Amino acid sequence: MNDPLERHLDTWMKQFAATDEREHILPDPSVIWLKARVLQSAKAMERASLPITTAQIGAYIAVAACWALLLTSKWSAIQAWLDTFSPSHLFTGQQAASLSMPVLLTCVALGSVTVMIAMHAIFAEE
Amino acid sequence: MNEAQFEAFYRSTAGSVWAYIYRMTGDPSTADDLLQKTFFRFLRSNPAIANEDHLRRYVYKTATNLVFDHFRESKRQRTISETTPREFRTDQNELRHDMARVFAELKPQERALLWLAHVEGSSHAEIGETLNVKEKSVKVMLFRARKKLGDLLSKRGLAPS
Repeated sequence: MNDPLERHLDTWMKQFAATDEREHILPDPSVIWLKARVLQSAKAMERASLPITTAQIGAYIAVAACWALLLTSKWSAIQAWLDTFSPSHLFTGQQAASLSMPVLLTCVALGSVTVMIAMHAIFAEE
Repeated sequence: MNEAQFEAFYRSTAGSVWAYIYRMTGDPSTADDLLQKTFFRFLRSNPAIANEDHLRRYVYKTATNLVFDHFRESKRQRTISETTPREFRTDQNELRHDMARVFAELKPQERALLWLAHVEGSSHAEIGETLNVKEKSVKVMLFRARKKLGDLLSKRGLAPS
């Protein structure tokens, strides 16, 4: 350190560092240790639950896609069947249109899965 | 690293790391916050290296990254809303000394360079590792930072005779 400016700055910086501005004590190391462990556990939990979360999102998408497919492909049959529940049909006593067994079973199955997923989501939130 | 080793390491380094962060940010509560984050990251990295100097450099590197992230974040927030008009707090009550005011006029990287070189006594290679810059560049940057600080001190009549 031959340069006088450098020497002066070195002294100045050391004096500056010696002026302690700390008004309170530093956090306790045991608290930092504990917090770090808690954070690590939370992160590990998040990592472990990632496949479950992915599966849940996949299930929501799959069920929504199945409903969309069913409603678009069998819309006319479903609409005709729903019309039979209208008051005019009930009053006139017209014969009710019937859904084919596979469509009916698919509707029942999809409805059950939808309710299951909804219940799971509600309870998971709670 | 077990809890006892961490405690010993923390007690030997936390004070100087806090001072470094505080001199970089100028805000004691930010320094507290970033100090904790620094040691959380340090523990998350699961340090197993026996060399304390290496661990110390790692802590300084982490603290530096967090300080620069903090500056980037506060800069972004400032562009969204003008609620925090000053990057560096220059409140008379906060900065008790002229020294702090002069130091605050330097850029964050210049502050880091000067602190690491003169207070921590780090070599150019160590500073380069901490600040993610080449050793050769450290020499030039340090020269410029010293010159700037010298000029600032001259302006206030604090330069060497």
